[in-house]
Amino acid sequence: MRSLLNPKLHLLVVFIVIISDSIGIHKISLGVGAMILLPLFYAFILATLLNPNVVQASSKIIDKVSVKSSVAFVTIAIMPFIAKFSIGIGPKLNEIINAGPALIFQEIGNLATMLIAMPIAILLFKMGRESIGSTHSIAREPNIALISDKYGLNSPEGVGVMGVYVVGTLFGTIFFSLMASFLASLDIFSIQSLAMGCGVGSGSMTAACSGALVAMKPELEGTITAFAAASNVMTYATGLYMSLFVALPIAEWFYKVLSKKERV
Amino acid sequence: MNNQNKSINLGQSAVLLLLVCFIGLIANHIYGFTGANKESMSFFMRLIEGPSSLIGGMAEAFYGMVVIYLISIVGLAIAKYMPFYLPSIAWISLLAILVASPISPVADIVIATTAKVHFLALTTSVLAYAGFAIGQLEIETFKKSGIKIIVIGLFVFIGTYIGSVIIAEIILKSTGQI
Repeated sequence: MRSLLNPKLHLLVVFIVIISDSIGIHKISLGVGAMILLPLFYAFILATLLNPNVVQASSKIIDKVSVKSSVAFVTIAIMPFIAKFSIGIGPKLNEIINAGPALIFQEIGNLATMLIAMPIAILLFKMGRESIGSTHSIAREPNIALISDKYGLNSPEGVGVMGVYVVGTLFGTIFFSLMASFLASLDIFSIQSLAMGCGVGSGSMTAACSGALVAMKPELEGTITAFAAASNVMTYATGLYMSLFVALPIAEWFYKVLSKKERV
Repeated sequence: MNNQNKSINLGQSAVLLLLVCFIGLIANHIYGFTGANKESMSFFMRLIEGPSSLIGGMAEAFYGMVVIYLISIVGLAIAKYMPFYLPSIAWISLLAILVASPISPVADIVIATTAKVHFLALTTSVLAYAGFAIGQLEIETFKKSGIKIIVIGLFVFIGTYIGSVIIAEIILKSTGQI
């Protein structure tokens, strides 16, 4: 417990939070579309630069032992966000129930992950069974648990899932907010669908994604948060089972198809 | 499947949650400041005026944060004592939906108090901790798989997001929701 409450780490976090939220939200025009920069984005970059594991010189400010407990705090700090975010569903419950079929079926959207990413992994990068681990799902904690249970984390599948997990941890949040704001600025899809798509990943991906959408369309904040939150709950509740019974068997089959093609 | 949440330490979580909720109050205050006065104030003005009016601003969102804190800790307790496993954030989420839904007698209070807390402000600290949480594992993974895994990872995100958006759009349209 005492190691968890190391004051230096938390004071640095407070300092980073004050700076990042003072910078605020910024919108960048890109000609065809626009992208949104959020405070969480700056916070991640500042903390990465102060992390002695990444930047050696930062060990003068905080040592490697002191940052260790931050892993536990990522899990804890996301809980108040999840609570606040899900409260947003309450007043919109009827709308969400009406959208029930869409919410259930969009979980199948996970399968599109594989259809796009696996051919790239196998045909372009000549990957082996790592591709099953890396592209069968969006590789968050439940998927790692599943892969480690089935193949072991030292197997090729395990290396694959850990790789995408790490990419998600490092770039997922930022990438999701940029992707969502860009797609929203093109005006192809309804805000409800864009918000639902936000819920497919981890809590912070959902936050970044829907935060970017709210920055684009502030007047629709209630709808955006309700749909994103509902989709995120669905992902938490069904994600593991979806991977186990649907995505992973299809990934095994698709791998066979693609690697056969590769041999010919 | 066994409930792996049985090992949750509620006492410890209660203390840690208290700390992150406190940081959340600070973030929320400054966030509100940058949101409302975004155009008219420079970054340095915000940096000075935000923290200096901190105490009064934090009082406004205090009750909302208490509600959020209670939902989080009760959700954790449910996760611990349920006979089957769901991630603890799933329980927190379901509990939050329940107390804010039309059947809840306290829905009005829950919604009104938490309206003062902005969801994005609660995520700044999450990503700060995430930046500090980068360790040997992350660095080793990149040494091993390199740029390939980054490209594949980004295609995984694009595929999942766009796949979900397209399916949602088709079904919402065909059921007449949009």
